[in-house]
Amino acid sequence: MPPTCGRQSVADLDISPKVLAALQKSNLLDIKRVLSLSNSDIEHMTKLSKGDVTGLKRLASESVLNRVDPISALDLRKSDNNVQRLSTGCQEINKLLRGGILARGITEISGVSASGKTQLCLQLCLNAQLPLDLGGLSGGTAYICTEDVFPNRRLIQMIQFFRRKSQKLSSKQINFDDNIFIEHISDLEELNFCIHRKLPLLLGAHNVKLVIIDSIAAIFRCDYAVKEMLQRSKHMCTLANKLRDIGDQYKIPIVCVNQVTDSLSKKEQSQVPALGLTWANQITSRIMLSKTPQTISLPLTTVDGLTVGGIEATVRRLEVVFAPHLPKQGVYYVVDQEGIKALTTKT
Amino acid sequence: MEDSLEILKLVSGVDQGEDKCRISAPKAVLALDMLYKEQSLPGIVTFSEKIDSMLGGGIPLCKITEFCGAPGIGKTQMCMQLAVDAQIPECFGGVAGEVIYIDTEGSFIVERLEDIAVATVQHCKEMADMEEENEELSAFTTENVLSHIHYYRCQDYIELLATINLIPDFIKKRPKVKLIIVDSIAFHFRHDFDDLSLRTRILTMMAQSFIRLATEHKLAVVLTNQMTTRFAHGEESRLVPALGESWGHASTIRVILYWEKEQRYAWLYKSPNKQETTVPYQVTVRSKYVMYKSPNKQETTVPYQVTVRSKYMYVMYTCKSPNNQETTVLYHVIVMSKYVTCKSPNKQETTVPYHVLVMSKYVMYKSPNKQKTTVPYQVTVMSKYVMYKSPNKQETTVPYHVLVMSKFVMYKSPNK
Repeated sequence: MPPTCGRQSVADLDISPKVLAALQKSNLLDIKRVLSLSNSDIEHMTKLSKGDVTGLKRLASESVLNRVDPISALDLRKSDNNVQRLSTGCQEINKLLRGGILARGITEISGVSASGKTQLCLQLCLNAQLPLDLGGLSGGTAYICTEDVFPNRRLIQMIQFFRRKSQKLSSKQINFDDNIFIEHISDLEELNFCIHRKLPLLLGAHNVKLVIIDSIAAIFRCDYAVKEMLQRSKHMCTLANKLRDIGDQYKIPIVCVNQVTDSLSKKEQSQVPALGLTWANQITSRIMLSKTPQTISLPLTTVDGLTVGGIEATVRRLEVVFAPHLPKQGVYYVVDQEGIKALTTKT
Repeated sequence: MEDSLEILKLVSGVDQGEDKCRISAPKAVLALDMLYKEQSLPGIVTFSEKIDSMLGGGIPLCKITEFCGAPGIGKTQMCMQLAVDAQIPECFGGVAGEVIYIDTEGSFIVERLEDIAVATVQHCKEMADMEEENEELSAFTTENVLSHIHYYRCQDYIELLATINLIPDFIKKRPKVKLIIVDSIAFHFRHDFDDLSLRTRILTMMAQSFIRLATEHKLAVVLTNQMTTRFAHGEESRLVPALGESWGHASTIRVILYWEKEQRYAWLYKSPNKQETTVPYQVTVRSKYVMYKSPNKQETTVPYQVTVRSKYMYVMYTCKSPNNQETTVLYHVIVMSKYVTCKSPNKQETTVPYHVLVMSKYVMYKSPNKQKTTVPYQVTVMSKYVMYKSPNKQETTVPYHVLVMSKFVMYKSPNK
């Protein structure tokens, strides 16, 4: 449910006229304000008795919460609204991620350039349109580009393969290219407008089940001088907060692409995701993509007139840096015409 | 021990009774009584022996413990582990309580909690195998563990405040609550707060509420906090716990978790009765079982302990390819926990879960030709020795064997 703080004024609460009058007198009508003050402060301000204030606090607390009693972990486990996962389209990677991208909080995909970040995002766009039983979310994607133009040609190429694959699995016809809403953004102001205004409208009007920002770093890495770092953190937090709210409200995954930066202090890990600790504190899961110096030649196969493989592919690595439900581990993968594929011991 | 617990329950019952009568002024108590009371209160064990001994027997009841650390360090893991550990039956030295879990970040994933619960239950069952069937233990199931964790999700600080206001009512309904977890306290206070004095006031108010809850209901409060970078003149930037100086007074015990190379460390930053210490710890896939204590109700001393450290290891190997370019490849060795049977001088044969330490090895591989080749190889671990301690016997060493399955590593020669 959306976080509606339904009632804002204490007048809507079921309190005695005496208490209400005292609150009116001391100009304490905002529920938020009542909750932000300690009991003794309210007693002092309103001259109400301790019992009255405790009762008032309880009613105020109950009015802002969607559910007063907690839910037990067991009920949470059994309930249907368990956290949804979005399949990445690769069995091995899904296994690593325990089902896929979490529809909870912000998932960050970071990596050096050409490590396959956008590829993974495109693949998520396509998988999101699959029905629920195939690991999808049966919905479209809002794709916010900040860095580069949307790789349309590559998407169409991937759709050819994806359509063939999905037709085998489900009889339902999906127009994969119809459900991706693309927005090009160049600065923070536009991004804020897009996220605060356009995105809620889009989510309300269309069946959009995935939000991707490619990339978040581009917005915050320029535009700010060294002096403005505090400002930057603040903007970042506000943006992340809004994104999380949207994710919670619609129960959809939010994916942010991030760049990497060379670490100055630590020698053991040369490259770390950009935007620093402030951003890292805001995200729920972090996935890191990297390139290895090795290459592998993929065998050439032809299926339904479409060629797959026959290329020399760089071996890349996908690693879970942190996630509340995953251990720190990774998998090697390659990118071919179809998209991202994990390397198993057999290939 | 049991007697003192009985007394404590009585005492706390009386306290609650007084509370209802709205006697606001607390009764004065002698420092000696307090000391006795404090010592008789069991802690919530973390199942990481070193962290437990660092904290003096686990997370103490009646106190606020704060875990600080950078993202990904394992704060949420620690919280989930504690949520399960707080329910360990009393016969294992646990507090057999229920748990309130307040999630502000949305990082509470039930599957992970279930993993930990399954592992903990299994671990306790294994420990109890040698003992006769126990009633307390038969109630200690994964389902029960999960049903005793009460979960609140707070989307903003107003909801957090409201939840905290309502907790006393909930505890009246569920008097067995022994642990309140807030993961994390900092989250909602780090954005959208222009008025810093308001923030400080709300934080102080929350700290007060937690302290009251902790002492009135004899429960432990565990909070997590984020880290922030602080710049000081003429100094390098360093990481400090968020929420500022004044918040530092809120918690009784503060533990900072950090990385150094591949090892995670817990640093006891602030504590009323322990000195600053740093211990290494790890988060493993199964759970963090390192310490084993034999349950023995009659004796106060622990009969024996088996301590085996575990580590994640990276193994590097250099391979030479036909085109003479040396490449270094990183791969993981996955260490699984195994069971060993050891014989104690005064007990029957027991089965103890523990972790295996695998040393780093170098594997050289030279590609004989340009064709792709697959090279199987084996990792063998030599037999090791476990030390165990016994109160009435001398330290002895017991040899045992570890079997590690052979693994296959694929290597593909770089093709020109």
